[in-house]
Amino acid sequence: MTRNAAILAMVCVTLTLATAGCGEGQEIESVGFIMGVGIDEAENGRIRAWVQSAIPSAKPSESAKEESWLASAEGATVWEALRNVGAKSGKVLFLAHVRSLIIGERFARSGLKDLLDVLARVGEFRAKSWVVVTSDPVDRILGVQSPQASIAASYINALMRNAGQLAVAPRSTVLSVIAATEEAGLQPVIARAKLVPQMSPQEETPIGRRPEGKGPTSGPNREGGAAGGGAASEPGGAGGSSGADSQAPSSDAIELSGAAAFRADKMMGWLSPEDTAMLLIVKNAGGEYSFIHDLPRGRGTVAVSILSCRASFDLPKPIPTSVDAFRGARVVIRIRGEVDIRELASDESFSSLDEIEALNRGLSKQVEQRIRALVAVSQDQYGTDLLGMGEAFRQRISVQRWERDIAPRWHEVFRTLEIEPEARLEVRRRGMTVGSPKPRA
Amino acid sequence: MPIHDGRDEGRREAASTGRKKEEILYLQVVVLAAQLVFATGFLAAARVLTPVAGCAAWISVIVGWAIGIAIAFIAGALIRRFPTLSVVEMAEDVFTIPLGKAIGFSFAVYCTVILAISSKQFVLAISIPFLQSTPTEIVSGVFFALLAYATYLGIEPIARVSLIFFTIVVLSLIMLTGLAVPVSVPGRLLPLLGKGPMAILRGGMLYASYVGELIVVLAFIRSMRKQDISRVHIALASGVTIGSVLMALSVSFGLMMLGHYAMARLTFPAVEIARMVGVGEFLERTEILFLALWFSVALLKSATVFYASVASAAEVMNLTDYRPLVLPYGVFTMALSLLPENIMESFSTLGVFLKYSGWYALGLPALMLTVAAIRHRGGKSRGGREAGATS
Repeated sequence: MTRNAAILAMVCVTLTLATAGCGEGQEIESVGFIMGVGIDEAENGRIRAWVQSAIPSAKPSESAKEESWLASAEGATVWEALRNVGAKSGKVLFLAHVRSLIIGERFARSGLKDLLDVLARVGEFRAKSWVVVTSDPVDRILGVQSPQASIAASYINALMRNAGQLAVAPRSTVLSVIAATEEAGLQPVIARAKLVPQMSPQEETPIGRRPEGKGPTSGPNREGGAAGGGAASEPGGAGGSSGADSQAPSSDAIELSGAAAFRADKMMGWLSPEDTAMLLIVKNAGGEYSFIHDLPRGRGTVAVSILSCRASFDLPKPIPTSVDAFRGARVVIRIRGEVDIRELASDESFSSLDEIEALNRGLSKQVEQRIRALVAVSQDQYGTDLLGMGEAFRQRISVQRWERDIAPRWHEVFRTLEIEPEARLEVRRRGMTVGSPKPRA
Repeated sequence: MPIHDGRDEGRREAASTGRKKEEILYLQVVVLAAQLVFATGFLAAARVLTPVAGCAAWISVIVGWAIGIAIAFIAGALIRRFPTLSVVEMAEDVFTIPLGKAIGFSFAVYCTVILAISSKQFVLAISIPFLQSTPTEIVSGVFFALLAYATYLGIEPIARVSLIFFTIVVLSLIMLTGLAVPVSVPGRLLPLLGKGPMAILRGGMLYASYVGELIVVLAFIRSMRKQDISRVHIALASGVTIGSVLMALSVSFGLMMLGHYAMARLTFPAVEIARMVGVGEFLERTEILFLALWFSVALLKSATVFYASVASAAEVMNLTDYRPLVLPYGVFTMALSLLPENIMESFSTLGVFLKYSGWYALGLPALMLTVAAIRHRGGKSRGGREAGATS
């Protein structure tokens, strides 16, 4: 009995070792941990992929340098491009640590379908990775170094977390994009990343630009010594957003501001930061959005932050059940929120209830106007239901009717809706003082 | 240690197990029943149910649960009528020996199919996302080696270990549910009736196949402690309820996170849910932790089914001990599980099984109970093999 158990145990151990794949083991040093992935369409119509992988330091004292390796390659498809990048790497590229996915505008406008297919199939890819779209060259975005995070992918990761707080860009993840593309009543809205100059007050030189002679001690080690990943290193390999001038200017910083508006998987255009903030409010995805309100009759300005906000759709009753019944149907976007006064650049003190009521009305009216502008962009300019109104209707219509009659023509139907915002914002807090400090002569 | 006289209950028990009488407790029966219902099915149940019932797939689970409760009570009534007999012995007593052997054989086949399909599903769930370069045969080999060893030890050790792991797994699922709340959109469950009442019923019948696996306990329920046997129907119903709650959570949170269109195309929705949750940036990629735990209950469930299969097959063949069958049966079932050459073939086999097995699970105990009542077999009726009676 004991002997049998021992034999069985040995068999189990042998099989377990075989299962672990020790025969083709990979040391951690031979694994390239990809932090960022970029995808764009080259001018020749081929797909260009970039990968930015971290180079872990052997010494703990050097870990803050966060060196990275940036490479790119082209392919006929997304997967082929990614595979071709892998062929340039001495390490096995591992996608499980991807923080940010940067998509070029050209690729976004031609459709994300092929990219989403690859992301959904690759088991190791993080569904919570951030997704951004950029009109700037992808390699320049990935080449940005910041004192806060020298790897651009990590920098974008930090910015996205902050962007959600400030309501300047949607917190778009691979999961949210895939979920939105699969529902006719939802449309993806992806954060916009763009390059902006950033100056260092200490050195009076752009951040990241090092004194001459010292050379770079960290940051992307570009593949083949060419700027912009492998873009310039391949004959005719310059992608749509990686031309010969794709040297990443170290003076650049990345700013997340606004969003890319999609219809299904195709990008239709850009949303301004204000439109994006309003969209986040309507979709109850906003953080602490701040804006300046001009007081009537030139009495100055008041800056407020929306602390809490709840938006809902008042759908027509009964719910239309045919395309024709939808035409001209009235939908009210009802918004209730509380605001905090952050700055008062005015002689007004808003100490009486009447003054507060007037301010509430003014703030509400301003938000309503901005939402009307968003609705106009959504209905007239791009013709895509960015507000997610279709999803609200879908939840109240039978599945068969929605799938058969409404969903295939939803964008057309959406443009005919009469959408009216109705906001009610109320000042709840005014900071640690009830009045502005008054300098005396 | 062959037993020859076969008169004493304990000895008769030993005849089929080959060693001292095994005893499983009330709580262990609850856990085994719950495990049979959800341990392997929950990985892919959402993919099976959402194309049928749409966003109301979770209601189909409730409908299927009601059918499961009915099966639990019917099976419970049958067990209380024949508390000391296995399913093969019950069939022989109720339908005469030749017909009983045929029914016993069908039961062993049913268990074998469950084992082949569920083990394949779980092996694929590990191989596809995590062990991509490891041959499926190796993963399957380890899986079946462990199953064979567990079966060799008997049902009592399986039940004991299940009690330990099940608690941990339930806690892991509760934790997963908690982590999934922030990324869930409850509106995706609307419209409430999804594709309509008939679609929900069809989904419920599919889910009934999962809960129907409960009848596997008929092979070893005579090992339940004697004083608990009167509450066996409550134990089975409790197991069905716990398993179904876990299944409903898995399906509904999958729907709330991804919507029913995405759920219908995912290979293993439960694994996908685990991939999408995390605690900020502190605890990421938790799916491997969850899968390791789920693997343990899948293993224990499969071991339970394995035991039921070989024990029933041994009785059909009039063997005094099931153990000589363990190795050949393990090799046979492993080969059977490897028959589907790709995942679509595997899903297709699963689809056929789910379509029909619910009826077998409902029909077998119902038929046996009805015929037993008509023929006055079992229980306190005359002529039947009563509680504690011998063959």
